[in-house]
Amino acid sequence: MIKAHEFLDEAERLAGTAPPPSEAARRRAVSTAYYGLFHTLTEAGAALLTCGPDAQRAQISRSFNHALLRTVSERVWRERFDPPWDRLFPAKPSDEIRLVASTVIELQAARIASDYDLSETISLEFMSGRVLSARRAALAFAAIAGTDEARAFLLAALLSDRWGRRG
Amino acid sequence: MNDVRPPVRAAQEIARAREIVARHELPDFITGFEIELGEMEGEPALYVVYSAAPFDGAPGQDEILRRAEAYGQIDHVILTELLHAFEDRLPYSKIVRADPSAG
Repeated sequence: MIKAHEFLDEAERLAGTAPPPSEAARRRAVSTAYYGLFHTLTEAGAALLTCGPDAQRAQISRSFNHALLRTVSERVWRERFDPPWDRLFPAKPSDEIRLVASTVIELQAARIASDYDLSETISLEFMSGRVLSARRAALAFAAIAGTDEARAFLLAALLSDRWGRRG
Repeated sequence: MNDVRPPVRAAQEIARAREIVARHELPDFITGFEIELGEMEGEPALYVVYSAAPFDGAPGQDEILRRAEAYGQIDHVILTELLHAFEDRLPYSKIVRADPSAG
């Protein structure tokens, strides 16, 4: 099963070519960088819930969705922890989780622009900036992996759209 | 980037965002910026659109990375300030070439 770091490696390869990458390659680099971070999180989420075979982990990974991940990321970036979030997250989240959250939001927008908005050129700075951001956020998440707030972030990204339900 | 808010409020939001960005020293290759209101996936959004100077000749990886690092550092700081200044808009940025034909 392909690993998240392979997406990040590929994004860096696409971004780092000489001469500088074509417009199409820049778009691929940005999009692939987003998926590198996204799958970093889905891999960790799957590992949180099962130590079973690839098929189980893949199915859990498929359960993550981009919209809920963005919603959770906004809440963490804004440090908006009303109940029941206040029981799961520290009042002051770490710099690492806030960096992950802000980068998810940044990269989702960048991916949408890269994949769908052909009206604007993706600059070399934008492409390289987003690829760097993805790697930094993945490293930041690795640094806090296994902490309560990292686990809370993953659980929220999977389940928080059900937290308001009763019965 | 359609937005249905009254123009006066939009102008105030743009001015407020401009003030926040203008407080910061921007990297040497950024020649200016604009604030645009819009949406992202149906949610209200605010964009800082930086203009970047053309490269001198064909850029090497070192120069591209230098710019990307500088952009990334200031971008994170400014977007976080904008996030806290605007409760109902998420901030984003773009960096575009002042001369689009320059890549």
